Amino acid sequence: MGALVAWGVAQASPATFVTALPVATDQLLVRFNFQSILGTQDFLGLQMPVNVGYGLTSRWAIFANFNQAYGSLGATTARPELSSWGAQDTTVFARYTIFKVDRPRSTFRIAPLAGAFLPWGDNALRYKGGPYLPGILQTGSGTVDPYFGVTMGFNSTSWGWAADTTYRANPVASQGISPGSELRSDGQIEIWLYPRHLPEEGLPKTVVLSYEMNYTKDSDTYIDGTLAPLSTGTVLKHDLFLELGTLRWQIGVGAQVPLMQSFDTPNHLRERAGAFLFFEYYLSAPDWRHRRSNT
Amino acid sequence: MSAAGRMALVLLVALAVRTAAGEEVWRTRAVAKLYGVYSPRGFFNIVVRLKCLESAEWVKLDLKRAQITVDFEPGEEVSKEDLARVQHEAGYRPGPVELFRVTGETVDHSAPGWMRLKSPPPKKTAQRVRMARRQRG
Repeated sequence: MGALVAWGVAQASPATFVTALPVATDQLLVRFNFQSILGTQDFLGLQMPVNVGYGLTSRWAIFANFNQAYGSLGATTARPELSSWGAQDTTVFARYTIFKVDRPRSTFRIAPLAGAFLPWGDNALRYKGGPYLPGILQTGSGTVDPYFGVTMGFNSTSWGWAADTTYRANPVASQGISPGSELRSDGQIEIWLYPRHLPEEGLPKTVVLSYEMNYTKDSDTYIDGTLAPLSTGTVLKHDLFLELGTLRWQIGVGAQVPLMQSFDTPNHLRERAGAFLFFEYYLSAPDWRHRRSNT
Repeated sequence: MSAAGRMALVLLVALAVRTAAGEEVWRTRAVAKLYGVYSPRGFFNIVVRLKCLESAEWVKLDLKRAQITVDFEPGEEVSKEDLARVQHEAGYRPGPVELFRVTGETVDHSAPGWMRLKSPPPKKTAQRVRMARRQRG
């Protein structure tokens, strides 16, 4: 059913969510994302990830990423128009702040993380009960995929930077399409556009311009447990985001353009552009574990 | 009652009233320097933990000074360790904390940055009503 395409293009690159920023004990953080990607072969991808973070202690935080996705490929002489929709694999991971330097109005942190992708999606979606849909339209990997990495960042009231590297080890499923393991690195730098000068009192809203680069390297794909040759890929993208932050929420809008896309096969699907919108909300979780009176 | 007696009674009542008026309600005010907090999101981390201090009633968030000012419910005591724990549990290295007692005129929550942490629980409200009744005599 058409050219097999690797996983990397379908996995949109959000503004670096794997951050080392602190999450307070018993704090909940919810981030709603909307991402769209346009590619060659009339590809359209829409994703609605919801990221949830919870502060277990001052150093431990746990995260879960739930995702719904839609993808469609245009018709060609070799195939009809194809599409799929559904829940993608869910990511859960824990993060531990192993090193931090806190100073007035700035912080530097390093935090390793580990978890797994849980197979909530489907890696064996078929076209009308026939052949498998291309990999880019599959919504899962079919296996529990170990996931680990490290994130770090420096932030202050005028600028900041962040970087992370993660590895998703995808075991081979006996049935369906198994995407190859994925190595990913993100780098980000941000500057504060507003306020240029902090007010003497109070907490101002902030407007931040963020530039981000995303590097992804995919290993070989397997189909029904058999290696699919010429299925690796390397992608480098860059993104620009504008973010408005307040005490309780943050909203951001961004655009993505690929810098480099290297695949084994020349007719591989390639991303052309992407757009992002996100809303992040902070709230207190029930604090029965730590509630106390100082009276 | 003689004129002198009436005069003495008036003076005693006046003295009693002044004494009652002079017993102004005091609050504990804590000023904590923050380390590592650089954004509104960081201040929210602090606010989340402050809400767990039951008597914390008002907080003033100052980004430029990198500090918070916390006013507690009238008559409530807190320790520096309480404020240090708030910062630690919010994920930050605790900064220095200073404690003061403030009274009526110095308690103004209308300046930029002040926010009320929560409505007082019913038990505290009842305490406050009893305290107000005692002050009214």
